[in-house]
Amino acid sequence: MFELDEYVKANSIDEVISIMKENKGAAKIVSGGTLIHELAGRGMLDNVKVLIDLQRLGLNYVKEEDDLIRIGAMTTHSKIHEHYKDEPRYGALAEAANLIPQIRNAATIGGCVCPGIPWLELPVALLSYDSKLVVQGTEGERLINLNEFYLDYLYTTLQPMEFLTEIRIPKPVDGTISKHISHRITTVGVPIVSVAVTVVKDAKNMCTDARIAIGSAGRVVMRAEKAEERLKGKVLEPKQLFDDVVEAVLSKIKPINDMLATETYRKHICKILVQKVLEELE
Amino acid sequence: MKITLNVNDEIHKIDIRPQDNLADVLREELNLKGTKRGCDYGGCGACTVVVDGKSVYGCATFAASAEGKKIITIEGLSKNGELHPLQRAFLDNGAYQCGFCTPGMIMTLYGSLNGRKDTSENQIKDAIRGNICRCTGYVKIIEAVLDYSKGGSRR
Amino acid sequence: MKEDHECLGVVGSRVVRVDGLDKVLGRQQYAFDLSQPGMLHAKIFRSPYPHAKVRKIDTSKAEAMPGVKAVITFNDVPKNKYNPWLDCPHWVEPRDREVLTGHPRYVGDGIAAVAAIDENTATKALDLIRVEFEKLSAVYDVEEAVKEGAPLLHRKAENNIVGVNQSWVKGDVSEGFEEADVVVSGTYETQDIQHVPMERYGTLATYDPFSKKMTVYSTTQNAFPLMSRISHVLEFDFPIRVIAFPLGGAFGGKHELFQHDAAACLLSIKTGKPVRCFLTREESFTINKRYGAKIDLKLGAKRDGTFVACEGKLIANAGAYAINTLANMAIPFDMMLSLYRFENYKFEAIGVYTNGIPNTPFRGFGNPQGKFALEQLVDELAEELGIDRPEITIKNMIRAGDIIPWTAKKCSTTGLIECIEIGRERIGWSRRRDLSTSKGVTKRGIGMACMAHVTSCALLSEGWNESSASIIKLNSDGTVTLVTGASDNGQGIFTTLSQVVAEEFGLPMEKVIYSQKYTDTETQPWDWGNFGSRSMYMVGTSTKLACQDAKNKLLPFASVKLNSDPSALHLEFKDGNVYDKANSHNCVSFAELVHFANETSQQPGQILGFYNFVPTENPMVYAAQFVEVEVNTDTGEIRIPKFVAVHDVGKAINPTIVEGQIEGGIIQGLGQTLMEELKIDKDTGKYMSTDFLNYHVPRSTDIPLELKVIYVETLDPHGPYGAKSVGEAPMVPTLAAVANAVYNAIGVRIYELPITPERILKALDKI
Repeated sequence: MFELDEYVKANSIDEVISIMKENKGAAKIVSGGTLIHELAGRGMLDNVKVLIDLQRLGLNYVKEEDDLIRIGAMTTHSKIHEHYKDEPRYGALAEAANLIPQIRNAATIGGCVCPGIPWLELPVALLSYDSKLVVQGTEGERLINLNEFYLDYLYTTLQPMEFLTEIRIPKPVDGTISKHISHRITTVGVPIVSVAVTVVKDAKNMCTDARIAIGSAGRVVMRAEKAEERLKGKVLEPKQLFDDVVEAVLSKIKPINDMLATETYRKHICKILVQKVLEELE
Repeated sequence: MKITLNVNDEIHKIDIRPQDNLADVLREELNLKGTKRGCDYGGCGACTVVVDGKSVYGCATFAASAEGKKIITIEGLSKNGELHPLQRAFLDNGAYQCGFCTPGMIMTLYGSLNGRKDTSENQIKDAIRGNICRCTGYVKIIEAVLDYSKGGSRR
Repeated sequence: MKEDHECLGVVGSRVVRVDGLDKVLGRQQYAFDLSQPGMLHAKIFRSPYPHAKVRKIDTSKAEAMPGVKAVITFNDVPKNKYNPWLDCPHWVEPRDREVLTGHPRYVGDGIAAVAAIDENTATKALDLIRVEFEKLSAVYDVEEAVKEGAPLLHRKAENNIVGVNQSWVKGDVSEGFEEADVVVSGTYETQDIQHVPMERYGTLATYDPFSKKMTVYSTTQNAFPLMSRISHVLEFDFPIRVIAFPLGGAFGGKHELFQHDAAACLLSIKTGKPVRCFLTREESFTINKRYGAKIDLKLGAKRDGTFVACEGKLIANAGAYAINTLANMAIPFDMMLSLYRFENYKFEAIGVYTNGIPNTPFRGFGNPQGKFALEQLVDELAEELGIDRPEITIKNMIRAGDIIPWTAKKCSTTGLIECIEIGRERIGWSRRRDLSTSKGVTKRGIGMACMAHVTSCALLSEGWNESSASIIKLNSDGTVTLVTGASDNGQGIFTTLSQVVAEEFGLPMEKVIYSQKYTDTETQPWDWGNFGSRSMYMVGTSTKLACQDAKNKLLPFASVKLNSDPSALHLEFKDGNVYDKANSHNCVSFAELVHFANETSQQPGQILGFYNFVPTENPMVYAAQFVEVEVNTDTGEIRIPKFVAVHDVGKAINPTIVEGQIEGGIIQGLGQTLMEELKIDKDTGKYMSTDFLNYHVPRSTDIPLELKVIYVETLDPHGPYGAKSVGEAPMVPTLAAVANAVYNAIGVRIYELPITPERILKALDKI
């Protein structure tokens, strides 16, 4: 049963860390709270005795600097969606953040990056941007490449006494287009596959750089590096064939059979989604 | 733990357990039973309330985290014996049957539309996709909101 | 677009519901919201195994836990087995349920119950109950369950068979098939689904040890039957009062005397305190279900389309307890025979126990399953014969005047032809051929299905018949009070009944007082409850006739006021006045007349009207639904650009309410057709789809782009103002209509539900 001894609104980064140290693993960060309730209701947080609410740390921001976008860990999906919805360079971010209203108004980017749940969508979009995570801990601040963050299902490189404060995205250069697409069995629910692609095109529409990220297709969200290599150099035009790119994606993913969909169907859908996203990049 | 909640422009000092969610606290501590619980954790929308202008699942919000924020429930929508235009639109269009999802549905729309008119059918459907209605099939709900969007009630 | 129909005045108009304000203000009280001082919270200890016997149970630690006030087990409750649905001498359904059981037969079956100061404490106490189980083997498939050597769920049910019904025989089907020019057949399978009402299941039981009286507030559709069952089954010798607030939905799932009802009552007696036992959503997903069915059907016809023979076998997966399986499994064939004429037929229905969730009535009561099979087979036949699909239905349909086999009565009215003609025109049926030859990834198709359904449970079962009663009180201030035992699942029956009263007395709605906002066994006359699409027909008729009774009693007083010979006087009630029909200038205000009658006349006393209606007919309702689908042959997704539903409702007492029922029923039908399923893990017997993440119900973004709902008024002579039923009918043809449309689109027929994207792709050999 989920029962807390304390719900604390921390006033500083140091306070967060000291509470974490004091409670040795029985303390957990809460941001929006939506995912915590899901996990708690399923009996997965019975060992948690203290929740540390970060709302006083001023981490709800989207800041644009010369070469960097900085998003505070407490920024809601709504804010991200509203901020970026009309910008093709940030399409993946905006689309991945477009969850059902009550969830997107509360769920934060930090709350969905940290758990290591492969069907959450914003991490898939972030993975298509060379994102970095700013975490605070007992040793101070450190930077983690999102690409190296997810080790296994629910298992990340975040250390026990660390927490996420900011996500940094290199500012997309001119010619960047980014898209996120996911597939659900019905219009609302956990996606069975999600794909985020961010590419840089030159004046002739040739892809000079590419990032392809896949979610819900394995124990972690992942990049399809071989597929990215194959995409580079292709001209993004209606006649273009992407079969080799798609094939490389399929060889990387390891989707599961579960109640929502079979492995076969997931692979089939992944193929279609990747094809669709690539066609829409023109 | 002791917290202070601002609900429908009234300040309430209450004592809760740290893990209590906002929907249960509104219902049990403040006796505001209009907000409903339809499921176990954040799936159906019956518990939707508006916090700082945004509709959220009350059952997936810690009451403690809502301290210091402006909370509006279905009870706070009508003022001085007058229905809010959304409520009027629901009433006149028969946009309810059993009514259990109705408070959550109205609060979601209140939080999403923010008084905005000229919403399309797709925008309305998108706004309420986090609210389950098992009775109406959503048809008259959408009609009611379109009615509201045009600034009046059909009848 | 809604068709315009003649308004009588109040009946037939879009009156705003009398409880509308409560709904939109969030003021509507539900059983879920009730709370009483000193109230305890109860939780049921449920079996974690699909089939087991309890060898030992130790509740001492749970009882000792601070905050726990009482614990009961199957050892502490009345042992007699009962039928949870109804309880009357001739009831044929098995009495196989126990209040709490030491022989759990499905994961979730209740073994014990705890009452504590709050829900958390009660939940924690469950973990302290120590049980030693003897695990038994379990069976989940009907084919496996009937085999020799299969684990037996109930001693009296050999081979786990609940019952076999072979009563539908006419002529000789073998000969019929010989005579047929074309014979088609198929096997159809439907899935288990849950009602998913937004208000979960639960009870607040309050036993007062001082007055020795119990009041039960339950989420029940059947307050009166529940009262008598609580009394008999729990062996109470004191008065029971059941109060049922309007429900947050039921759809047939809230009929029974549930284990949580019984536990709450018993714990309330034990503790002397009010006890609230409400189920979580997870528990509510596994409390009862619509039975999944396997239907083998064979249909033979002449070249001209005449149905010469039909043979069918239905196996119902009843789950662990029968509830009313025998009735539920009989409906599909009864309704087939209410829709079409067959020269020869032979049907068999079998109910089978399995170690799964027990089946219970669900909107349509077996008819959706039956029509999923029948209307797809008819579709196939039409194609084989090269006959236009709507024409084959019209050719074989039951017409007004035909005898309906299961009632042995004449079909009083049918608007089916009109429904079909309107529907085919609105959907653009003639586009069908062009549509289905569309190239590209998206395939389009149009399909249709028809249905027949009941109006109430009149004549349905041997052993009991329908009745409803209404009481009218004429008040001296010119208002009229209506008292009935009608039950509101959310469809607005209090409003439509009030409309009847307003119409009868020529009054505005504000002058009609519906006596209570809930169903109350203590102060209202008996009503069976809200199910079987019965309320408007039954309680509407008793109300109309109770009004007539009151008017008859008013006549002598009117003759005084109007100075007329009572034997020649005919009264008209209109605009708040009472007129001499023969001379419209001779009138008196209703209020004045009633005041006189009640108080100042020579024979004072409040005018009361009463009528107890026992029906002798069950007027059938008919409908045709037409669907246009788009199937994405890459992803298997189905979209519905257009859906046209045309329903014969007899008379729409309140068009808004009637449309709402049709719209809601269709969307619920789409849920069963496309996405819902209770999935069981056959290794553990546990159900995996017990939350909204895994059990999908239709959302706003799942509904058809365009949904046209049209009702047809055939003005049936047996119903109030011609009204027949509308509650269940809309869900009935939807499953087959969509399946037929999908076939038209992709050229492959889907015989199983739900029609998921994966099923589509498998049918197309894409995966």
